[in-house]
Amino acid sequence: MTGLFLSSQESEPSQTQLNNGISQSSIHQNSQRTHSFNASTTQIAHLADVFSAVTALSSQALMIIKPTGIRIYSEYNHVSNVLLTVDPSLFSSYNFFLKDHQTGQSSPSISQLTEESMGAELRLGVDISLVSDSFASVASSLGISKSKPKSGATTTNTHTSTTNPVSDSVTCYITYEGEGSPLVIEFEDNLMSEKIEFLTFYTDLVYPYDDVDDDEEEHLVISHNDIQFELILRSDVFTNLLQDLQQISTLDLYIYLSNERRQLGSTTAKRGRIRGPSLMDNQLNFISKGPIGHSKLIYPNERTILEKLLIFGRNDPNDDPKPVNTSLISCYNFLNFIKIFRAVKMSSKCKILKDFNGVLSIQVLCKNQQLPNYAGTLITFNMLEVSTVVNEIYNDNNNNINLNNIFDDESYEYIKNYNSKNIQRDLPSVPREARIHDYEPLEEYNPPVRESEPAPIPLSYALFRTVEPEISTDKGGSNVQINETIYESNERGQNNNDFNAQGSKKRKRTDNGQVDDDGKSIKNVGGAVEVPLFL
Amino acid sequence: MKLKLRTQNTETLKTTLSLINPLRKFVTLRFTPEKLYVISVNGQSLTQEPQVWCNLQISSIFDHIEIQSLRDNTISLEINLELLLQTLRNFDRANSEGLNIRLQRKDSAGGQGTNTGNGRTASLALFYANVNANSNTINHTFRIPVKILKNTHDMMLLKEPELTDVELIMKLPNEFVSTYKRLDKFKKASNNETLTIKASRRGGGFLGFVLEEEGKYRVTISWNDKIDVQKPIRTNLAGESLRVSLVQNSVNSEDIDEDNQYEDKEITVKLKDWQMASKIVASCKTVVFLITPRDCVLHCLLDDSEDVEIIYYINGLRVRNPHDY
Repeated sequence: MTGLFLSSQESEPSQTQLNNGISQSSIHQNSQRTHSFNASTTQIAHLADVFSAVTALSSQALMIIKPTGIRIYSEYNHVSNVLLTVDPSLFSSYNFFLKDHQTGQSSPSISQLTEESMGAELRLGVDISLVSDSFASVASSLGISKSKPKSGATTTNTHTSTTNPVSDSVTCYITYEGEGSPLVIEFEDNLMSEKIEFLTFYTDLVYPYDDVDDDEEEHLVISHNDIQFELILRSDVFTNLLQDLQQISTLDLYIYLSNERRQLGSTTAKRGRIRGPSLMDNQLNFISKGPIGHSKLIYPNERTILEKLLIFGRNDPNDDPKPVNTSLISCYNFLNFIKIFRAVKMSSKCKILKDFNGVLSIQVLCKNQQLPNYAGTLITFNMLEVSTVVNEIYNDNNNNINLNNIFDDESYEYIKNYNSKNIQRDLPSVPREARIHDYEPLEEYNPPVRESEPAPIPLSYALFRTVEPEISTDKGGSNVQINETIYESNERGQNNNDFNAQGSKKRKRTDNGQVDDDGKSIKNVGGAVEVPLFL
Repeated sequence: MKLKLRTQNTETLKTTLSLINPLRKFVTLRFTPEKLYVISVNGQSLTQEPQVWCNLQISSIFDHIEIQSLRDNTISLEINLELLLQTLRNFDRANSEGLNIRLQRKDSAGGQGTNTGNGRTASLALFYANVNANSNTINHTFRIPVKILKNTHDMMLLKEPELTDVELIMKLPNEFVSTYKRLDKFKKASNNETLTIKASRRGGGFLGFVLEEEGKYRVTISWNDKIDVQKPIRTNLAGESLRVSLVQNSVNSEDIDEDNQYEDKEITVKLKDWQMASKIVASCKTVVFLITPRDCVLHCLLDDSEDVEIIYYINGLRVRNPHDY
């Protein structure tokens, strides 16, 4: 029987009842109370929606009821988790009771009570998919009764049809009497009442938002002190993009973002052109790897659609991250990633955060059209990025790979020059325009010739097409094995090793040359556009 | 044996058949001079699964009727329902003058007896003429193989269940179909779910469902709206018009003993069996629900007339009165 109890704190009351005559020591002061909870609402469609977002991860969930709201937490395989927070303002009544079992004790003062009751909570394990199904079936019958009186009027979207009195007629009552009792959800309208008692159970889900000083176990939550990047996207565009990614059966998803400054116009003084103004250019690309190869989906960078893009960097792990202008890429398993889809679809805005530990956090706020004053239901997903091999290959010798050259259209020119001597005749499969693009032979730049060590090859489009003797098949070919976030150092100049010196030289060339032509042609596209790269 | 029918409008027949189509692949059609019975039963275990009997006034469907047989002018045949429905739909689309239905012996070159393997020795021919845009006439003929039920054993099996000892009778409101939607989600949650139906005359009429899955949930759905639960005077309703019995029974609604627990009746059925009737309940104008100690019956009238009756019999899983033990 005691096994059913969730925590020692909660199991105390039963003990208290047994030893009722004996006066309890003050240690047990808090534990002599049990909590119970009831609430009622008419917002069934909204709850059905948000609950269904959680069921994508797991059917079992931990429900935490507090005076400040209801939280539902679930996780999948220790690689992703979800937290749903429903604000009490969604409910027309929301009561959290404290039952004092020790009658002899004087009741606490009001300030004490509120303080204690704020910390009080009820925890229960529940089959969330069943709960979600119940809400969904009631919500769907709402849709039926709604459409019947209209009978063939304009088929309004069930999600957005707001001002219908019928939809408000079903009231939902949620009751929980504390441990050992079922979670009771009742739906009632004029015609019928449905009372569902969900059995609750003990769950061994570890709730990572607890303030436990447990350093041994790493929790899958974002660390707000170590934020690596922060994005705010408009959800409808993001939803379309996710849909596209799913349609091309993505397996791995790379998120590339960059906020580097770029120069407009040509900059070579030789030809007498003027340097253009420097431009802060936010780029967010979703790169899909799947059975059809790689595809790049460019998220539009208009301010209204891509509201925020911040990248942080730090020199030392102990430093606070500072905003920097750079580029970075990270990789995720798409099967896990797409589980956010339903939540994103019903939201209006979506915030994406990632920290230096490799935790990606996606927060979506779901508004309720029927309750304009409702702040919204917050759903937070956390997931781990996929880590890999590339580390071992690259990170040992040179931490600072010129990341910009990966998937960066601007580096076409340079790569062609660089490889021209070695590759040109070995390239029958490369499209002509990509290979020989009227490039001029460059006088000012000569590829470094080194006997001792092979020159590091920057990752680039051209690389994927070519098989160079040096890179052979393990990193070349069509697979780019950049799976963990690789950071490009901002202070290239400070580094003295050969590669970086060369890298900066390259960069210079990139900045100087015929850079913008290629980049621009793609940048101007309005929506999320799919650009197949390696087909 | 002779069967010749002609009709211009197949709408009623088509609607009725499509309602029971999801239940089983084969149905039995029984043609008599007065009625057409469409019977959907499980041939092997008659008492285990629900039976559906559709009684159609044959004169309201067909305008030309010729039925001759040695057995009281009754012809029974087993037919693939989907094929029949498909043909009726084709006829509807063709916008033809009229549909002829005839029973034909199957022309098999090998003579009789070669085709007895599956017993489908005859075919039901449906043909109609269609005039197309170029005013050419196209004749369509569909032959659906049927098995003629001749021997008395088959006939004995197909006997309409008699409703003896009806305990409660109630007319279900049209909105009642939403309870099916609420129950539907539990169908996928488990496979062999049972549903307990409770009804009582006490408290102004009560109808409710109890559904329980061990270790998971317990659901109670009860109807809040007014429901008129009656007790029939004569318990044997066989062969009696449904409307008449409802009218007659409304007389004795005063002598309800509010304290008598024996007024409460309950019956347990398979959830799947109950849910199969959802389409029928949703489409029929009048639905009357009857409880007997062993079965429960949904007696439905498709429209305002009494031309089409659909009767859905569900066998109770265990006969139990909570106050008997």
